[in-house]
Amino acid sequence: MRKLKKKEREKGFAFMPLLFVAAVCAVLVAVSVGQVNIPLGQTGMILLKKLLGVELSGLSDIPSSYFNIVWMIRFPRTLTSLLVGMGLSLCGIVMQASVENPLADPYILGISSGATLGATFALMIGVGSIPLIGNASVAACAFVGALIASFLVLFFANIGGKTTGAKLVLAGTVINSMFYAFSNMIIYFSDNAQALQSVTFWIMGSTASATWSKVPMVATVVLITVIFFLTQSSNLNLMLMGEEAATTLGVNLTFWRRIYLLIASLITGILVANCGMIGFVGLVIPHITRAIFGANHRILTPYTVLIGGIFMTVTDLFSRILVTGSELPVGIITASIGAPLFLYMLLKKDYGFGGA
Amino acid sequence: MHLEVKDLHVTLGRTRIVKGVNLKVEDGQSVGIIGPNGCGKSTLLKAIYRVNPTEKGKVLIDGKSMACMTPKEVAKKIAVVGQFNELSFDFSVEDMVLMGRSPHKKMMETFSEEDYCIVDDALEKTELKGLRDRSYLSLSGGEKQRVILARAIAQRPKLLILDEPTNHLDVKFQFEVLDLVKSLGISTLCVLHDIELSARYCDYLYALKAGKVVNEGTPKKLLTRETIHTLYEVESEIYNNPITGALSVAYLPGREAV
Repeated sequence: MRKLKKKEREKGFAFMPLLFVAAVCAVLVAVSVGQVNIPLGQTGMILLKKLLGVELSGLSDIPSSYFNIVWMIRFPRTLTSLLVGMGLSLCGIVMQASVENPLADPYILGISSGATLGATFALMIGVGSIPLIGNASVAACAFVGALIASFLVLFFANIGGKTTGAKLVLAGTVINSMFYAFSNMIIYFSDNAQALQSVTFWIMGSTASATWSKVPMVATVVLITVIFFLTQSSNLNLMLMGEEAATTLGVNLTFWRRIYLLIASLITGILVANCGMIGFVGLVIPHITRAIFGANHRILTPYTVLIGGIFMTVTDLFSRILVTGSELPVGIITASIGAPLFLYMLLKKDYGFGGA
Repeated sequence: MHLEVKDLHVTLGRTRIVKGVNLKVEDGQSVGIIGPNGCGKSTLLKAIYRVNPTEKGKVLIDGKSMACMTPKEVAKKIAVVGQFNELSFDFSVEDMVLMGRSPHKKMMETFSEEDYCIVDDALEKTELKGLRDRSYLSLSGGEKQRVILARAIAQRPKLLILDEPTNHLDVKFQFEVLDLVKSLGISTLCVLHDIELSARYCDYLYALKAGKVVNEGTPKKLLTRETIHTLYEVESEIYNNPITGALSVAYLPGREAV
């Protein structure tokens, strides 16, 4: 009888294979569809050849331009979207648990404003002349800005001894408005119209700049973090019990909270530096997944990561094809798909969004 | 299990709330703390289970200072049932109770059959078996409190600390919860909101006022008109209830001191 019970317990993972298949399909479709539509079969063949070296018959009939489009342009970009979606939704879960607040998202610790300030600074004032960071200056400055902001938040929340979830959220909000004020000041006093447009585009987020040279770093960082947090489900669950209960159930809350927040800020900083600010994914995907699969992180974390990846892959596809001949910033799409979905759940589903 | 609190001082912000408390809980004993609002009962308990920092003094468990134990080591020995158990996130009852097992698990260890048996047993004891798959936030106050108690039982502690666990419960659940705690046969240290309940369920009482122990003893010895007056500044008569035979307090707030 107990054995049967155990089987029942694993039922929580029943949808995993399905989502895996969905993720692969999403990537295939995203790589095939665009300004030039490539038949799915040919995309599959190209990817098989490039990834595994398998040559199927008919490979030689595929135009070489398709190879370039699939392998050099769309595939790295789609992979980046998938990874960004995974990373941001994972950071969303971790932040929500660490500050024990359902409103938390990956940007809660001031990362958004810090990165924006860094990017604005790079684009408006220009640091291109500084050696070493030269070309990558926007990304580098955004990353540094994000880190400075999150360290400031952690520092201020720590003043007076005990760090609480509420203090972290408040410190994050305050640092956010301060840093946004700085960026706005730079923008206000600048008369560089072109740079202003770059800033706007950057703030809205885009994976358009993804290349093979960036994929390995993003992939390594995201995958390692995913694996790490898959092993932390017990601590994450206990954090949601509240500070007192978590402590009496044996969690060294101060220590783990700091570790988790640092890791999540680092990842978010790297993602933001690469793709700008992609909003809503990190807030909405954890909630949607929680509404379907429950709050237990043992099940929630893998599902959220997969769903987040699929969501970003699909929204990135939309950002490329919705307007012919042009490209929408993906942040606009994530919010305009995410918000109605979220509202639907709010009205329809018996889900408390943390408020009961 | 043997808990000893030696000369404990607790300061929160700038206010010194607990001023040199000594107390002991022997193996299997159930010890209660009584005192007026703001006398430092909860603060003292929180300092013992290490949510509040201690300024001075020691808490020894089996002769070992708790200050040099990890939260996990402490959680294997002490479980806590508090009065405030609202959550921001929802879990199933079974998942909640399973969390009681986590102090016994290593970093990446998963729950074993044994853990599930212990959880089953805790659910059985708290009569929650039928609610196992229900969501915690959908439960009533009494049911929630029983879930928290089940979690504490699943923790298999040597000492159970109760901080007004029956505060929001109906009379029936109050007795049920406290009878259940008593039947576990482990040492308990508790603050109950009612003196008669304390007298009924505790073997030994400490009377706390303004952060200091003013009196201690068995309920029979401690609960006198004088003690009640020192603690609560209310006149009273202590009597044996003719129906229940239990120690009872009749408060006589209008009466002049005799």
